[in-house]
Amino acid sequence: MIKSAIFRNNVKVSGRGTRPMLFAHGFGCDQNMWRYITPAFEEQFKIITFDYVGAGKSDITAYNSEKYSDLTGYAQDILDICHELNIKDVVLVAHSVSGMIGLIAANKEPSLFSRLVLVGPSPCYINDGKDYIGGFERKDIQELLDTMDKNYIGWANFLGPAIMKNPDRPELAAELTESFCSTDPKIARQFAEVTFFSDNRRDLSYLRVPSLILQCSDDLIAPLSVGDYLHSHLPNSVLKVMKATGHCPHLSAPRETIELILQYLKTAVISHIAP
Amino acid sequence: MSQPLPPDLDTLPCGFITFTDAAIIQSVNETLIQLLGYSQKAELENKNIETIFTLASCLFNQTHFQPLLHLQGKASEIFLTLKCKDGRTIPVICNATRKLGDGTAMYHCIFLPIEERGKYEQELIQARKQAQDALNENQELIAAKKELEAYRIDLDRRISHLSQVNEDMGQFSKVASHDLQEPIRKIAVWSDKMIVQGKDHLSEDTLKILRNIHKECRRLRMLAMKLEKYISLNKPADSLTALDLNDIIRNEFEAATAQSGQTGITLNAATLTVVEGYQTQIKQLFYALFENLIRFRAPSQPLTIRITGQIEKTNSYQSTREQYRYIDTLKISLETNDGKDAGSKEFVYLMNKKAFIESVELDFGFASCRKIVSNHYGSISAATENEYTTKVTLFLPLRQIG
Repeated sequence: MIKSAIFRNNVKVSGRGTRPMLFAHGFGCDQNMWRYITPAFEEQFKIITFDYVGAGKSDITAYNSEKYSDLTGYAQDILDICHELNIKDVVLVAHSVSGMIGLIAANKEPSLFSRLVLVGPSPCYINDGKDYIGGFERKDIQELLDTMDKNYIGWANFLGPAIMKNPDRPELAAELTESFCSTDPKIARQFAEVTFFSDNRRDLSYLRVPSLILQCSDDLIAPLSVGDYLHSHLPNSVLKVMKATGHCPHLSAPRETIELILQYLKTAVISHIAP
Repeated sequence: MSQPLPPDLDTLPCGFITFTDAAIIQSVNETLIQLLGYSQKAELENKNIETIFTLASCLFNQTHFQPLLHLQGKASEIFLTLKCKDGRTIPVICNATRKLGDGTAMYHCIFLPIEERGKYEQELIQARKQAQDALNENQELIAAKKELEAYRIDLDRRISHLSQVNEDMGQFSKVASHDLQEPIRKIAVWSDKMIVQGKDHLSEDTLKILRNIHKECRRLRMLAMKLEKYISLNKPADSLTALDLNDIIRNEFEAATAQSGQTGITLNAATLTVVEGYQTQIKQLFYALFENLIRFRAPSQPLTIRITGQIEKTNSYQSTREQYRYIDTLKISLETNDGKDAGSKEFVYLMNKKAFIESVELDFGFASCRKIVSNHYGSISAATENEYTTKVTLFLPLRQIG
């Protein structure tokens, strides 16, 4: 049985506008991460947020390790959401690995999207040993996966008692599960592996949807060189280097993030790229 | 701003630091300084906490540890790897809590080295992983075996059924396309004779009927020939080879343009990657595509056919649900920008028609396009993108499996 994407991805729709704005969270997060950003667009846009399968309150039974062995599987879910909600002309705001997921989706069905806003994107995290600097060596990623393995024991012990100890306060348990992003460590582990070993450099030149790259000035996960690489390989892209540091400007510098998105949506030329 | 630590904290039997909301180290104890091989506290004070983390731990810090601290105000038993001044690494267990001082938050954090325990834990994790893998593999194997059995039975039934249908089809197409031709030809000859012989004494009404019979016979023969050609697409004439689509496209475009006798047609084709396929059929496919794009062009306007290609990962399972295996597929778009007339609507309608045989007589080109694409486990569809653009989208896997 094929389940509804609305249910599977815990899709939430809000806002008073008609033009759709779809927010795709990044690795290790869920849709709550957009809470400082979405209010600024509610008046003008129809806001859509969702959780990837395995994150937040998504339907974990829909996890299929073959489907999600590649970012293409996650991209299909974004397309499913657009089809089910019957939305077009979508402004897709995508954080971190969602940037490339959004790119794959937009390459598959360019007519669904009008703009991509990529927050801290990277087409490839690992240095290729030639001239591409992704920021990591393969062994760094391996160590990260080991660190995740070692901490899952901790996660379970840490979260379990906190929920158990307050049976008379179910709202606390709800709060805990809600605020803790990766509800399923096994899925998060595979997501990390798929994310950090992905290489989507080939797909960049195909993009026909105009895009904004929001590059933080000191981002470990997507260093400046990656932003430059993206800008020079993504046709019709605008690069903005933010004052914000870190990998999550939508959490650490929401005002700057909102400003830049608004500015981009106002000034960018509305053009379907001419042949 | 750094602060001196009380002496007791300085000599704690574990590393101790305090850091601000922005992850800047405010103070650090002597134990940690020694552990990491630094000579004085000033080397770490006012630095980002990531100065003492390995790259992987930095990543984990940003994606898990810091968010957790911000959300919960504490974290315990977190495994991290510290980086010494000389690059050595030390695995530690870390506990941290948030203290609210005069309006600003400060995090207190201890690091307990677990080098020995770490080795032991590593073994445990390894063993658990092996056990889990074995269990998963076993469970997966059992499930896969069951599924496979069901599939095999199903597959066997389908193969039996298909081969029966195929045999019927073969017989039928032979009868339809070959055996029927002779009687049809004879009827045509006889009716023709009757027209010639009875020209003077048969009534005009009767002659009209005879002419109609003759006309229908011709139509039947054409249909039979097309059907034979269509059925023959089931058996590719050549074997699979790596195809240079660029040559094929150029040649077939020129052939179709010459055949049409029309002018004002240009091709604007991007370089496409090599795909595996049946050469004769792929040639036929592009010929038919060009032929029909030309046939449905807007009259008295120049026609430009623009071809672009990109590689996409697609699921190679087309009929089985919830099964995934991603393969590289070449997506080819053929766009014309003169579709401002009813012709393009008809083109789109014919290209997207699902019934194969039904359209063989009227639209042999379209039917054969779909057939050839399906022989290559690809797909084809057409759409009007806006009022000016007609677009055919063609998916061809880079490699044919099996």
